[in-house]
Amino acid sequence: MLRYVIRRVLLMIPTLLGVAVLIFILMRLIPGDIVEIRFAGEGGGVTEEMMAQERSRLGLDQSLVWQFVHWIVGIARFDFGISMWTGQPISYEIGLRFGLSLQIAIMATLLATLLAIPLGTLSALKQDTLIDYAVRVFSIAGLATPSFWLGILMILGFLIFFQWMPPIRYTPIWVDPVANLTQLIWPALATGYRYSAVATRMTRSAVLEVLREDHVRTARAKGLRERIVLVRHAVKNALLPIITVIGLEFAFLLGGLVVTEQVFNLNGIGLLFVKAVGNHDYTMVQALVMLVAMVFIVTNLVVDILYAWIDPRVYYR
Amino acid sequence: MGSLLEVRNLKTRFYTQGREIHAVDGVSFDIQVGETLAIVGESGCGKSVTALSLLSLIPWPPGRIIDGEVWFLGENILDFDAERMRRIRGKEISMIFQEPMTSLNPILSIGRQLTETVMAHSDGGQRAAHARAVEMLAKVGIPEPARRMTQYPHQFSGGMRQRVMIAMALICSPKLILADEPTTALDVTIQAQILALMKALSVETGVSVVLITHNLGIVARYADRVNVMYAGRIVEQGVARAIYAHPRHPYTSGLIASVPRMNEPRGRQRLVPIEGQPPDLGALGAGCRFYPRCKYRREPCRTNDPPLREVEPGHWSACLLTDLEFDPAAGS
Repeated sequence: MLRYVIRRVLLMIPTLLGVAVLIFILMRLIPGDIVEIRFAGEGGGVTEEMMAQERSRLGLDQSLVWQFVHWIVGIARFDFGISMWTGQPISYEIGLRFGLSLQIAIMATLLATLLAIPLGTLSALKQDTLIDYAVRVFSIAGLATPSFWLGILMILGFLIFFQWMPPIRYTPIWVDPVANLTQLIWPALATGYRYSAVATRMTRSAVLEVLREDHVRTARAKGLRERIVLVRHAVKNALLPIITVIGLEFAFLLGGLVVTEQVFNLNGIGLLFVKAVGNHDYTMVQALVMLVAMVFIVTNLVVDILYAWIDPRVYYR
Repeated sequence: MGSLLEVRNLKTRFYTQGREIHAVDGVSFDIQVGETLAIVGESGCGKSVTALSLLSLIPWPPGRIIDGEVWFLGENILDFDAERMRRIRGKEISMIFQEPMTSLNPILSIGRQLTETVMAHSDGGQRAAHARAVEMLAKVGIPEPARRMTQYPHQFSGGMRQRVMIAMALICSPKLILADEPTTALDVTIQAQILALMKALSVETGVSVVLITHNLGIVARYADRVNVMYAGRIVEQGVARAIYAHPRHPYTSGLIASVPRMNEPRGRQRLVPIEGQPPDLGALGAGCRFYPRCKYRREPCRTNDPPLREVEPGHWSACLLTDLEFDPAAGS
């Protein structure tokens, strides 16, 4: 098992290298560069000379191969370089926002898991009853509701009924947990609802499938208590597809919460991403893409390890 | 010997696609202490549903026991609530299923699946349950039982899994085991081993066995008495040897004629299949259920569904024909 994990970690290197080449080329293919965009606001007083000077300051006058090698060597030393737009170190810019995005992703995942597994199981157990229909309506609604729209409704609701708004300033959870949670619980709820809807539907169908299996009948025939039959013999066996979905959604949340972050006025990774793309901030976009790729790969690895932990038939070497 | 279990007029129906399927339709029989009772019949005749009904294991929807009584140790267990029924299952009456490949939970260790059965029915601790499980694995002929406890079903062969199922069924020393086609999914050589094991254990522990099968060879060899089922009913009931030697219902004699006999020279005897298909259990007519396929049918059979009647002491048949009219040799 340890050997497997080590091999998977080593396999991350070619994968990330592929991602690096791809995003590097894609960024240079977008028409216009960061210098043009920076000077676009300056009006007519910009000379070719000034632009050439700026390009050379940013290293954009070097050959593409040299730029790429320079960037990759930096990454290998965990040096992501400097944002071409703000001039700040990229690790600083990301570090400022990563905690917030990670916290929302974790909270939404917890919420979705804690909601989806009991609800989906209940729905499967009470198939085609009123409870099942209620859960299915709840989850279909969750699938159909964009989380940013739910976020807007939440904020409007607070304003109209309570004349209250979630705080705008981000406080790290270790500084003031209450202030932190009053700000972040709402975006976590808004995204967690859709997330839990996906997971609830997956849980329902997975549990339904397992409940029809022979070994569940055996468990009942042995005289096990219904709760044990359900938890130990049905839900546990149904976990594989559920954790797959949960893992994918978690990875998505870390980079994909652009609009929701905007709705709640949060300074997160998603917003940083969009701004960086708009500004053609090459180094920043590249670093963010690498980060998101890394999150996906690590999440997948964790899901695969969980597989082996749950199902003894899954064995990696 | 007295009756351990008495089944009276058991009726189980399934409701699917707006139809009512009479899967088990008024079945009555007794099981004596220590005996092996076979239930024989072709696929879909209601043998498995009968066994599942005894333990109230019919899933609703789509199935439901609509009538009947199952008397066990002086009580009608069909009246029991869920908790009392649970305490019967696996403790007093346990079950062995057809498919050893799918009847064990693939992600729990064999040891866990054995000990949880013990723990569900006793207050003893984990350690006592573990010791009991190892003892049972050894008893059903699994080598290195202590080591095998930590393994998972996929690490066992089909025959070994069925041995585990038998150990699981016997672990709480039940009074009755319902074995639903326990060897159908196994190789022929393994079948004999498993049946011999079950026979030996039933003799040793005095447990009664209901052996559900479609294999008449198994019946002749391992059963004391037989219920022959057809289309949700018992059509013939009696001592295995008597029925085998002298069947009194045309369906039973048809079944026997369709099985090869190893003790006759090859080619001397041709196998005679029973023509036609069993009736649709969702659309039964008034007459005998075997009427469309029966070689001896007469006009009254079309409208009269005969009840079981005692044709000789301890031998019952649901056929209008008297012994003189019914001669299997004349029909073939």
